[in-house]
Amino acid sequence: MTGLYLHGRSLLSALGNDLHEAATAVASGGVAPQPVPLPGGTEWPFFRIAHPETRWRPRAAALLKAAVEQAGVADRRDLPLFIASSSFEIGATETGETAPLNDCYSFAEEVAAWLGWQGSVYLVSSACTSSLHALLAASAHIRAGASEEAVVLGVELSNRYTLSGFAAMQLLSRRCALPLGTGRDGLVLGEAVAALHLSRQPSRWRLCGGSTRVDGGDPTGAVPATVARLCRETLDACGLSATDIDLIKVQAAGSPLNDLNEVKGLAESFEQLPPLMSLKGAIGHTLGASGAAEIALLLECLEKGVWPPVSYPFDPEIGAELARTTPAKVRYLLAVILGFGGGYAAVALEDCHG
Amino acid sequence: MAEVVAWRIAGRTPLAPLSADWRERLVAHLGQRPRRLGLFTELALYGALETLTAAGERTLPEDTLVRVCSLRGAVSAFHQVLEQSATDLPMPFSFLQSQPSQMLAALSGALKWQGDAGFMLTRDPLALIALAMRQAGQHGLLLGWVEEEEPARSQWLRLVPGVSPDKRFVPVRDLGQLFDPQTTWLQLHGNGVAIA
Repeated sequence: MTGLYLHGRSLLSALGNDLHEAATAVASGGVAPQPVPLPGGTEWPFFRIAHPETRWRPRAAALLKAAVEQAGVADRRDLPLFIASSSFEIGATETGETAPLNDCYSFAEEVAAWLGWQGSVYLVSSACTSSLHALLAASAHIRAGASEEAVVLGVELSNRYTLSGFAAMQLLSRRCALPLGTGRDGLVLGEAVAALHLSRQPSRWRLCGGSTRVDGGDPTGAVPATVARLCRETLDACGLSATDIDLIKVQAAGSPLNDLNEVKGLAESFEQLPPLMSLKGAIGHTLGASGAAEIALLLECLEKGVWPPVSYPFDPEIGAELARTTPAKVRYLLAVILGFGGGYAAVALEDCHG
Repeated sequence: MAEVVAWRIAGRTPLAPLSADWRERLVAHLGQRPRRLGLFTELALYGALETLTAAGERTLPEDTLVRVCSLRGAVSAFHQVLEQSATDLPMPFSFLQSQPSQMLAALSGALKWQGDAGFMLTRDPLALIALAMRQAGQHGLLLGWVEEEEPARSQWLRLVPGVSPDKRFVPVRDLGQLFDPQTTWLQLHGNGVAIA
């Protein structure tokens, strides 16, 4: 199999405006989500990126430029760019900075203009699995010889539309997300901009492969058998067996049913569950950006030896817990993203220094 | 997939404007009236099911790659939710209908199929075909272009891999060429597509 590697990476999130700040924040216990009021009088916790610019479009442009610079691809603007987002620039529409969206691809063109991007630009919008879809599309693009490198850019920025939609669906917690925890009562959403630079040139983290599935059997919740199927397909695609996996970054966003079903599915695939970890409590569920954002943060945590704190009891009904410390050895890891709309995606990565 | 050098068009929707009775035909395909799906999803289901019928298939092999492309997505539901969320929480079904991922789930449900399905937005549909071809496996692709307005359309292609025919391939300049009944084969051509 052709080797593909993650070269540069970046993340701007509620934890900080670069990965160093994010790792430092994780090491010191993380940050708390801030309340965001919605029309109608409700208020919801939300992980917002701290940035001095308050206008939506200039703020988005600044965040995206920083993400590309930090990933080391600001001068590689000829590369194919795979943007992953579920909300595009809806926030700018809400603030009146742009006319109501009538052409969603214009967001990709605007991003390209902000970044001065000259390569092909693809826009993937498959809800929460968008970033992993984009990563696998970029991977296929390179493997087919269409390019030597590619950039995946996950973008999910503040907007009332998504927050109110999830609130209307009764999917949000009013307090905080408790992945796999007792008393978990929903998700907390968050902002993120994350870039992953994928290349044939060897580096520490190899993208072994991945797979995605859509299961329309239950568009609102995870189905254990489909989670199990996803894991098996991903392992097969990577030439790995279940016992090779040293760590699973689970979806585990704090949903009462989905967390339970996800672990049931994992237990079908893994006779003995490897250590589990979730990043939703640290940066929130960043939807279309979550795949790229969580991979960037996870690898930073592993490299820096920091680990997201877990200070709540786990649900005994689930029968699994999140690891409280960095596992002693992580050579192969699995990153799982489960999406709104019956979307399932996973990728496996290898630490070539491991 | 190194042995696959071309893709045969096994089924497609006509290039002509959407049939006036498309909703009735969708009901006939589904065996029931669709409920709470929204216009975008209904259009997508209609085109996909018409194309599978044309290809002589009732469902898709599991490793078929499904890609749905659009410029505007579920724009009518989007505007409805935008308006609703300005004053209060939106209606849950309106929000669901505004999410393209729900269209993929509905497609999976209608076909009783699970697999790799994704939604992409583009102004260059030929680049997306090329991208999808690079990702597709031995059971090929189902590709759709769906718009709710200006005008409404749901154009689909079912592509299956095959050995390249002894024909001259010419680069495609316009998506419409793929829906010409004279066009029967596609292959990658640089970052675009060629037809025969």
